[in-house]
Amino acid sequence: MPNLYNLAYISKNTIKGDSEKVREEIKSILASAHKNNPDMGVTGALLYSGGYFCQVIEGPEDVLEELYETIQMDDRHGEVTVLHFEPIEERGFSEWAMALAGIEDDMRFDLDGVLGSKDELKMKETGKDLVAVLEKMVKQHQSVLSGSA
Amino acid sequence: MNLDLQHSASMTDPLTGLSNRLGVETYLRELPDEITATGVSVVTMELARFGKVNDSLGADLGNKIISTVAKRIQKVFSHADWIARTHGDHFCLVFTGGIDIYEQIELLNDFTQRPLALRGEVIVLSVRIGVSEIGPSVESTSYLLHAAEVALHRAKREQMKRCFFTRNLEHEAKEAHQLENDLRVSLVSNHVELHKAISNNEFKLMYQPIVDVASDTVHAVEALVRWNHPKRGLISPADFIPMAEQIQVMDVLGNWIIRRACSDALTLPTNSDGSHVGVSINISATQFIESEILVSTVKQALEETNIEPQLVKLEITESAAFGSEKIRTIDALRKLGCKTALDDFGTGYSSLTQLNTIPLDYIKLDRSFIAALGGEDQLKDQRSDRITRAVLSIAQTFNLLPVVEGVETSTQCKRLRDYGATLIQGYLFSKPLELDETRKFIENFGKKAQVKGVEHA
Ligand SMILES: Cc1cc2nc3c(=O)[nH]c(=O)nc-3n(C[C@H](O)[C@H](O)[C@H](O)COP(=O)(O)O)c2cc1C
Repeated sequence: MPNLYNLAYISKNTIKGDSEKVREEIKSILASAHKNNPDMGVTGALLYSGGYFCQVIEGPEDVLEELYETIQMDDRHGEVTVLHFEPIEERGFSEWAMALAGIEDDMRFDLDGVLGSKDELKMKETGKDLVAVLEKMVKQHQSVLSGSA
Repeated sequence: MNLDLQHSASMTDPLTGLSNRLGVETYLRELPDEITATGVSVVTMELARFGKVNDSLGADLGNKIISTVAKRIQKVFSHADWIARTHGDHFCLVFTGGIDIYEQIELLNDFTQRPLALRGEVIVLSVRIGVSEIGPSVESTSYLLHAAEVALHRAKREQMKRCFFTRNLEHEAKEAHQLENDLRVSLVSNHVELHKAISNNEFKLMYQPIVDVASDTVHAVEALVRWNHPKRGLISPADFIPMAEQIQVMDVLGNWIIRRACSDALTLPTNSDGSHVGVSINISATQFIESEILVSTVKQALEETNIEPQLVKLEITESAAFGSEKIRTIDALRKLGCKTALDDFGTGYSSLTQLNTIPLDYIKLDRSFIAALGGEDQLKDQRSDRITRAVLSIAQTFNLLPVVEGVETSTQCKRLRDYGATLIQGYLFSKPLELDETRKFIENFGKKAQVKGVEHA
């Protein structure tokens, strides 16, 4: 598919309340994504990790521009750092309107020096890492789900 | 908001759908007293690195950035009384009633500086803010926009994130703002107005000789534009070129400069050894945005005047970003036969990689290098000497002809000559001259050289 891009970002959770409240909000975010993304041709994955959101969205370039603008204005998070926005050959999450890669207490990425950084190379690397890790997690998640079914 | 105003086409900015400058000016002027009494604040904002982004990523993306930022502002500031795009990358918000202005500034900073993801690029902008409030320092609402822009201007000059208007700024206010308005009046953004200003002789070129001390000839003259203001006299380009760039009239003015300089150059006498005097023309970074227009203007000027192309030297400022697009343009200009010079070398990026990739003939050493050369302060002299020699040897290594600007004393000149630099520009030989004075200078310089030649013998 021509004009296919993916965008990866990390942002800081600003949801007030306990972890139950956070889970609830993540559910509502996923509900929005499941409702809206298929019509826009968007797929992707979301991870909540140590107080940060890590998300990859993939789809047509102009659609991602607009969705990103909507998401970054969402007051459930802030300090958005876009790691990359690049053309891709094929989707990494083609079967998921928005896969939940996990909700974890510890941050699994080395964010020091990336958040608020101007070091493009480092950001791109972390972006690629993020996509790779999310792909792996989603696959694991998927096999767990199908195994338990 | 006053819907009648907001919806009138002449007061709407077509790119963003926001109100334009006229819209906010009208709104402020017509604000009823009872609202003014509750307090009015005007916040103006500029995207600080926008020029650079626009220059390196293209005007199309530039427009996309402006409209995306406009949308963010609209979303976040639905409680604002008025939102306008006043020009280029400048926005303006009006708040009335008891509002915490610091909170608004925080919001504006926050949302406009969040990363943008557009056309496959991630762009992070920074903003500068100028604020004015109705009160003792500004008593009339029609003065508020002006006052906020003065504060913004100050913020920009002093590299501050934000600045509030105060009475002290008022004097500067008059100066700077008046100048910008006058320029707008003189140029607006259309050719007709510019042609009018040109035929009124409001713009003119002066020429500063670049002397070749090895052959005692005038190598070239640098064309320097001046704005001959009807009331304020000559205004230097440092004061109006940035404004011309901002209100997007630089290509019109730039094209006039190119054509005028080429036709003036033809009227210059030859040197006493028969060689022709070249003309050096400054090209602004914004002229590179419409690179096709730039190349075709130069081509046309060469054809119209029939000037030998190698006499035309185009000076490109170093600090502008050099993308591959820009390098292609410089290549195209050189294919026409023109020479190219890197201006102000050593002050901006000074990247040696750039020297390898940009097709160049000359580099111009910035005046700041040699300012202390041969001066009283020995330490400064030594430092200046060291860096001058280093830069000159870089020029030599890259096979570029160095031109040294700002030479004021014969000590400096002699020293430079010892180091192999022979193209010298500065007050030692001449300040910028009117065209007829330039002709006289060239004639006299030849005669003097002959006399000197006799003396040497
Ligand atoms: C971390 C995060 C990720 C989000 N991802 C998406 C998404 O992929 N798709 C989407 O439509 N909304 C997403 N949202 C929600 C949007 O910001 C917004 O609330 C939603 O699109 C509103 O649409 P709705 O009213 O139809 O639910 C996300 C929000 C957050 C905080």
